[in-house]
Amino acid sequence: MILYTPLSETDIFPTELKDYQKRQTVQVDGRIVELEQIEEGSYRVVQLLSTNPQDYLNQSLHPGEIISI
Amino acid sequence: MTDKDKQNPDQQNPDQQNQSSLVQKIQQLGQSSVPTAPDSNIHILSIIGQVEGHVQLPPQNKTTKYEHLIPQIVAVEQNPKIEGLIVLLNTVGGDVEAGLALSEMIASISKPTVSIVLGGGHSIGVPIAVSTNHSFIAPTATMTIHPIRLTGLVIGVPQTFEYLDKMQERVIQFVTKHSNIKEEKFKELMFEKGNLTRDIGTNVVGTDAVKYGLIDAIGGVKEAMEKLNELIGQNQDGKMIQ
Repeated sequence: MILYTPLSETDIFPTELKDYQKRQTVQVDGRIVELEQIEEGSYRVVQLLSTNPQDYLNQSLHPGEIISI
Repeated sequence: MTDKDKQNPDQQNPDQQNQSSLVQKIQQLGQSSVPTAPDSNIHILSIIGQVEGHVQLPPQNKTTKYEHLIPQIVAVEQNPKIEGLIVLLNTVGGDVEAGLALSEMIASISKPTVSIVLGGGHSIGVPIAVSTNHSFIAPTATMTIHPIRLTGLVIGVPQTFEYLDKMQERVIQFVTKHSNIKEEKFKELMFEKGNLTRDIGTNVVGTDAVKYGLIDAIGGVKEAMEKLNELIGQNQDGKMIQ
């Protein structure tokens, strides 16, 4: 199937609400981190949101690390 | 048992755990802890992927949310330990108003700021790149300059057109005010034909961006750090005289 349209892909195939809800921005050890839920109570670090370059050396907040809350 | 007694065992537990792990470390490695790095006096603001404004993009998009960055910029301005800010850009552009908001915030910081364009600083990335005191671009990085566009449903075409025209004027004014490029040259690049297949605009590569006066110099991390330290030095000298 070919869709020839000026609309964006997300206008035709809207993202499900639960996909948005999977991602959360929370504070871990005083640093703001974007997390993705893997299962109940267990989250994977997607991105660290910090301006302090030293925070990026913190092993426990590297992208891909699993955090349980 | 009083409430106080109940709390006590909980409070002691982490201490005991800490002590035992400390003892273990000393036994195993002969050291108590790895020295921690001192707090950095330079902070970094990375603007990656799309600049996300009023509309939340689906999670598969890599975005920089301006509501995350603006409090960080305020924190950088307020924290006396932070002496300088580096803005790292690798963005395809995005929401014009969010991008302009970020640019204005960065331009109004009292501390020295330096930007580096790595890979791409397209579209609304251009005003963000020029908003700092000094801007750098990697030799291979590019910046696309093009007129403002709008996707989605438009209600009231003439009004929207006028609004967009004003918005574009704001972008042009900001860029020409904060960089050495002339307004005529910037507009010429913006409305150029034949550079982007069947589209208007220009894709400016690193060295050309410097040639046109859009960006101050070619460089990467080393140059940016040197420049920022120089600006921090000047800033502190200025304070001492006062």
